[in-house]
Amino acid sequence: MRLLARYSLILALLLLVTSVYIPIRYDTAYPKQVGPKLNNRIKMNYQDDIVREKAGLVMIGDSVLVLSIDANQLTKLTGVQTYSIGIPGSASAVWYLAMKNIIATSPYKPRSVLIVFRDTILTAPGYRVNGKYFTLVDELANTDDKLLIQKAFIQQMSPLEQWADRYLPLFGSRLRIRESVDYYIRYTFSSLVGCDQQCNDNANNAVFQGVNLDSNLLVDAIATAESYLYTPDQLDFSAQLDNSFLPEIVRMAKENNIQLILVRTKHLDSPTESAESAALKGYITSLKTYAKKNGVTVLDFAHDERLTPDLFVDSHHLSPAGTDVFTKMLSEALKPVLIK
Amino acid sequence: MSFTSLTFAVFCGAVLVVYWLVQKKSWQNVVLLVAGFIFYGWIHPWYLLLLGLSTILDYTLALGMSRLRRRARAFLIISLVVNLGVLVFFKYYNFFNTALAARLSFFGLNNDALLVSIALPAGLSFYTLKKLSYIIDNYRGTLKPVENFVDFALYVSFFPQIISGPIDRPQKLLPQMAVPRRWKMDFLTSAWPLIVMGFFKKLVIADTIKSIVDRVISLQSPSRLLVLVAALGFTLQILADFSAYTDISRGIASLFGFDTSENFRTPYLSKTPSEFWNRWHITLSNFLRDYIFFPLRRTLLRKRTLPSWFVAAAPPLLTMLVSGIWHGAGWTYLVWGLYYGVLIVVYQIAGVQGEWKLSGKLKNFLAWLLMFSLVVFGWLLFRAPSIAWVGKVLFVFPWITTNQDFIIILVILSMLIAYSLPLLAKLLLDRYFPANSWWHAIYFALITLFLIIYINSSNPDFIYFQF
Repeated sequence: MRLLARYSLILALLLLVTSVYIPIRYDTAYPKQVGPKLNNRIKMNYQDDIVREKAGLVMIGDSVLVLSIDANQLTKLTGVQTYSIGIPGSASAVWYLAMKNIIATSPYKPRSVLIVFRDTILTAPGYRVNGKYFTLVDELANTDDKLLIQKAFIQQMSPLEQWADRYLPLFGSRLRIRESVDYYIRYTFSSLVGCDQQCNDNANNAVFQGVNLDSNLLVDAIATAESYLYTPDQLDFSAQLDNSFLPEIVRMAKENNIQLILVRTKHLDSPTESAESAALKGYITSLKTYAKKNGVTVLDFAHDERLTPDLFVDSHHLSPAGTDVFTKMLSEALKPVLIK
Repeated sequence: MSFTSLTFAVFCGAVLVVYWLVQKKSWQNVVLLVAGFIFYGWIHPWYLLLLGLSTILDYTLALGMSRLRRRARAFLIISLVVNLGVLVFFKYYNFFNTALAARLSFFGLNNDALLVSIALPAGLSFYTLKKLSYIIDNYRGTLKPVENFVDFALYVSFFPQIISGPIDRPQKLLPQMAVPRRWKMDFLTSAWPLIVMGFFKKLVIADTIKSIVDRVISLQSPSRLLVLVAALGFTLQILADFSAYTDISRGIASLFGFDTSENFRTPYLSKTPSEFWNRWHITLSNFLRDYIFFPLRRTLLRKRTLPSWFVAAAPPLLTMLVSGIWHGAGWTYLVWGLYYGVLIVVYQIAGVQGEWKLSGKLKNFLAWLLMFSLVVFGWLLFRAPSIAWVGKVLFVFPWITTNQDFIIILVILSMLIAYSLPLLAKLLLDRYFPANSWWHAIYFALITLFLIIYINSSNPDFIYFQF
C-alpha cells in the first residue's frame, strides 16, 4: 500500500512537471485540438507537373501503382497524357488529400482521375496514417484539413484516447517525444564513429533495401500488415462508407467535373474468385453498386487470369514484365470508358 | 481480445465490478466463467465449442475415473487421445497438409480441400495441458475430481490464463476457487506493479525490439554479426514479451483474489541448461518434468537391461523434443527442443546438473557467459525462418559485408542496450532495495511515463513502410 501511495505521488508530480514543460517545449497550447498537428506546407511538385504536362489522366495510388502501371506507355496506348501520383506507403487518407489539395485546386484540371486500390483500402481511413506514414499525410495536408483529422485520426481513437490527447500533454505530444527518444537511441552511438543521421539513414536504406529482402518472408509480412483490411469491421462496406474518404472523393470529382475511375488490382493472396472470402465478395459487390449509383467506373482486375503468378515479384507487386502486361490490359479497358 | 487493448480494459473493469459485487463464491465463479467464455469467444465464437466440449469430456472422464476405478486407465487413454489428437490436428495440420497434398498430386490425386488452412484456436496448447494435468493427477490418485462443473470449467477457462498461461496446476487453482473471496487491498497492491511492468515490457521493449529483429531476419543474406545482434535482440524481445504476458495475467488474477504461478525467474542469469529451464516458462517446465521426464526416467530405470548412458540421455532428449514440438509446428522448433535436450545431456556428461556452484567470480562469469551464449544461439534456432537459413548463417554468410552493415550493427546494439537497461535496473532494485522503497516508486512512475509515450504511437520504424 505504501508503494502504491509513493508511486501515485511521484507519478502525479511527474505528470504535472511534463504538463508544464511539454507545452512550452513544443509550443502547443493545452487543452489542444484532438489529433495531430499538421504543417501548412503542401508538396506542390505534383500539381506543377500536372499543369506543365497538361495531364488528361491522373493516377493515384501506392507502390502497387508505381510497380504496375507505366504512365508513359499508357499515354502512348490511350492517347491521353497520363501522370502518376504513386506514393509508396500511401493509402486512402493520402489519396483523398491528393484529390483535395493537388487535383481539385489545380489550375489545370485533368479530365479523369484513376485510383488504384485493392480490396477494402478505399474505406479504411485510418490505415497507414501513423508513425512514418504520417509524413506522407503531412506532406499533402493543410493545417485546417478538418475532415482528414476527423476521419483518419479522431475517428480511430477511443473517447479515452481523445480525452488524453486533448488534456494530457505527455500523451498529446507522444509521437514527437518518441521521435526524440528514438533519435537519441539510434544516432548517439553511431555518431561516436563519425556517422551522422544522414549517414545512418543511408546505411539503413542500403542494408534493408527491397532487393535484399527474402521474398517469401516479405510475402508473409505483407499479409500480416494487410490483415487489418480484412477484419470483419473493414469488410462491412455500408458501415465503413460514411466513415471513409470515398464519398468525399466522389463528391470532389463530381464538383470538378472529373471522371473518377477506380482500378482494383490483383494480388496473390486471393488470385481467383474461389479463393476470395464471401465477406470480401459482398464488400466488392456493394462497392460496385455504390460506384454505379454515383457514376464512378470500376475496373476490376482482381481475378484476371492474364496476370499469372510469374508476373509478380511478391504477393502484390508486378515485375517489369508484369507492368508491361498490366499497362496494356489497363489501356484496353480504359479506351472505351476514358473521356478524351 | 488482447490484454493491451482498450476493449480488454473496459471488459476487465466491468467483470471486476460485477465479480466483487456478487460476493457469493459460487456466483463469483459463474461470473468469471462467463467472462472467460466471452473473452475466449470474442473474435472466433466457434472456438468456444471446442473449449466447451473438451471441458465437458474431461470433467465427465475424471468423475468416471473416481467412480469406476477399474476403467480409469481407459478413461485416461480416451482423454489423452482426444486432447492430444485435437492439439496435434489444429497445431500441425497446416505443417503437414501442403506436403500431403503434394504427395497425393504426385500419385494423380488432387485434393484442394487439403490446402485449406486451419486456424489454431488461441490458447489451445495452454488449456490442453491444464486439462491433461487434471486428468493425469486424477488417474494417479493425487487429486480428487471436482464435483462442481463450474469450478472445473473455470479452472480450464480462467480468462487471465487461457491464452498464454501460466499453466497452473489444478492443485494450485482449484482450492482457491472453492473458498469464499472477499475484497482486500492486498489484491490491488500485489496486482498493480505486475500490470504496469507487464505493459511496459510489452509495449515499450518487446514491440520496439521486434521491428528490428524482424527486419534482420527478413534479409536474404545478412552478415553473421548482424544476425548475432538480431539474435541478441530476439533474446530480449521474447523475454520481455512472454514475461509481460505472464505479469499482466498474474496481476489481473490477483485483482480477482487469485494467486497464480510465477513463470520467469531471471532465466538469463542461469549457468546450466537445466537451471535455465527451471527459470524459464516455469509452469511448462514443471509440466514436462512431472508428466514426461520423471515417468520416462522411472520407466527406463526399471528396465535394467538398458545401458546406463541411454537411461541418462533419453529422458532429457525426449522431454525437450516434446517441448520443441509443443512450441510450434516447424523444423526450427523441433531442432530448438532437441538442441536443449543435447545441451542438458552434454552438461550431465560434464558432471554439471541443476545449478552449477563454482568458486570465484571469474569462473561464475565464464559459466554464465557460456550458458548465455548457448541460450542466444537457441533463440536464433527458434526465430530463424528455416534450418537451412541457420546453416547459411553458420557456414556461408560473411562476418560483415560493408561499412553500412557495421553502422546498422551499432544502431541495433545501442537500441538493445537502451531497451534492456530498464530490466537491468529493475533487477538491481529488487536485489538491493526493499520492495516498497522510494526507488521502486520512482522506477514505476518513470516507466509509466514511458508507457504513456509509447502507447498506441505506432512503430515509427515499421518494416513494410515502403510497401
